[in-house]
Amino acid sequence: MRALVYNGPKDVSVKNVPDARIERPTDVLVRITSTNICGSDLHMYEGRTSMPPGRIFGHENLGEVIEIGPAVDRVKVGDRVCLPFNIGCGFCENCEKGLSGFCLTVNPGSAGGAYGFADMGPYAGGQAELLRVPYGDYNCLLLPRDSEDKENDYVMLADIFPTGYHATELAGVSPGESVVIYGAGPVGLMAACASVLKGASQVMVVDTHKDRLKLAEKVGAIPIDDTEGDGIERIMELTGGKGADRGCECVGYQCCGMHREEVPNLTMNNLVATVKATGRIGVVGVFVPEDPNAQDRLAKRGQIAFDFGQFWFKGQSMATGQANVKAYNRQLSRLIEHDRVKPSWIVSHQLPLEQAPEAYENFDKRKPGWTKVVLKPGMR
Amino acid sequence: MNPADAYEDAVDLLDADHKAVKKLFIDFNALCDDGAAPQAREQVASKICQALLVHAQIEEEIFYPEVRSGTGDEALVDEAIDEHAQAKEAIAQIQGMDPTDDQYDDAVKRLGELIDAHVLEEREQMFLEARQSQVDLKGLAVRLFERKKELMGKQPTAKRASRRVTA
Repeated sequence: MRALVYNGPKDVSVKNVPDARIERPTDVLVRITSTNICGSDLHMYEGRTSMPPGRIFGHENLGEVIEIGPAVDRVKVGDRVCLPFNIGCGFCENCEKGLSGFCLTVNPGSAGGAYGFADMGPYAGGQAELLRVPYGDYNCLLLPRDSEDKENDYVMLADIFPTGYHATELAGVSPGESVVIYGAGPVGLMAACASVLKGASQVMVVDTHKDRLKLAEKVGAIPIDDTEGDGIERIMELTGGKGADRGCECVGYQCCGMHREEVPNLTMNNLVATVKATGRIGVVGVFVPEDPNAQDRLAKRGQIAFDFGQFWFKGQSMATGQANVKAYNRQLSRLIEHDRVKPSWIVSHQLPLEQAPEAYENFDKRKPGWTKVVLKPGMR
Repeated sequence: MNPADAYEDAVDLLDADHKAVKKLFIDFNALCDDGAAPQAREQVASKICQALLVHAQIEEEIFYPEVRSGTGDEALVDEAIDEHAQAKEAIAQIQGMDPTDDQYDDAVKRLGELIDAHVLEEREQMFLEARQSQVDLKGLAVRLFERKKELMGKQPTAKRASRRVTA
């Protein structure tokens, strides 16, 4: 099959690799029809993770089931399914609690598994023609009948829509509250969309990319352009000097200052500054236990200089971690089915798999207009 | 409760070792970046070496033979033993060096890289295969725990002795 293979830092190519296949009786084999490039793929693409060369990327996957293992009951050949980026077993202590992102079975030692992701198990990614889905009955979200027409909406259920929603859950966003979201990338935009859905009174989205801020505006958020570094003042003004009730971190450890230089503590400390006393911060941006290739001394050892004194003094709280996609994807799919949301509003490009290397390059450079790429392995 | 029973299975116990030693490697790298004193670096490095030697020994004595017979994956176990041999060589080299040696920090960092690669393989292959096999991982956890305690009880004397030689 054709697949996007990681060769080394900033070097990916589409190659012929052995077909994905059923390996265990509980597996399902999916022919991928849509698979997104995620911002977190860029950490690996840039060589900023322990991803070994030779692996296939892709954890935002949707497609059609073409084969099932002998122990699969629910999923049928021909079903159209969206796969949560996290792989869970369904029967461990964490999966039982709905914490499928922290499955104890599929990636021994480390909590949680995922397709084509550093430190998240041996599972190949879906930026390929075929994908092996472990524990298929548990992991497949069966899509409604309109899934072909709305494929670019449903594919967002694999990761970024639930992840953005998770940010608002971690922050505890309720109706009438104000929210400040750092990052207008796809996840931040989904967090903005989720906040609007939840009835937030003010949704402020901070970024320096004008094309992305425009997309935030489209779902009813207030764009805050931090290019001049005055984002904090704007937010304090908009909230009458108090700060927002809730804050979401949707950038992660490679967050950048005004001159695109990496400042790993920037978004976290800006959130401490712009969230009100007693407010809560939800962090879904990726932070890593170590980052040997970082410039910053603290970042190398997975630390940031955090304004803990201010954080404590304001009595704020924080919740962190990757989204447990299965906790949300079914409900969020109904919002798509009933036309309450259209997460495809952020899609800027849909391209054949063969063009993935160029897409990675452009997305990584934050070329204006490259917001979200959906790869179509079936497209020629 | 028997303290050995705290670990659900052998994989949990062995990977707890991996996590503990990873933390020490991160600490060691931080000490290097901060220009810490040789004694401070040596203290962390010798902790790393000690932990790894005990870990390798209990794996080789107890875990690997069971995985070999339980999964039938000879190649996988042979490779792991091979990697242990490389790590032991690197450890011996570090233990024979003075922390003021120019090469000392690099030797420890190289060991860290060897261990990272080895741990990744165990997590992605051996641990998964072991859990999917009929190997009695619950029973093994108790044996591993007891043997680990026994070896750790012996080790400090050996370490102090070797320290005196290098000092």
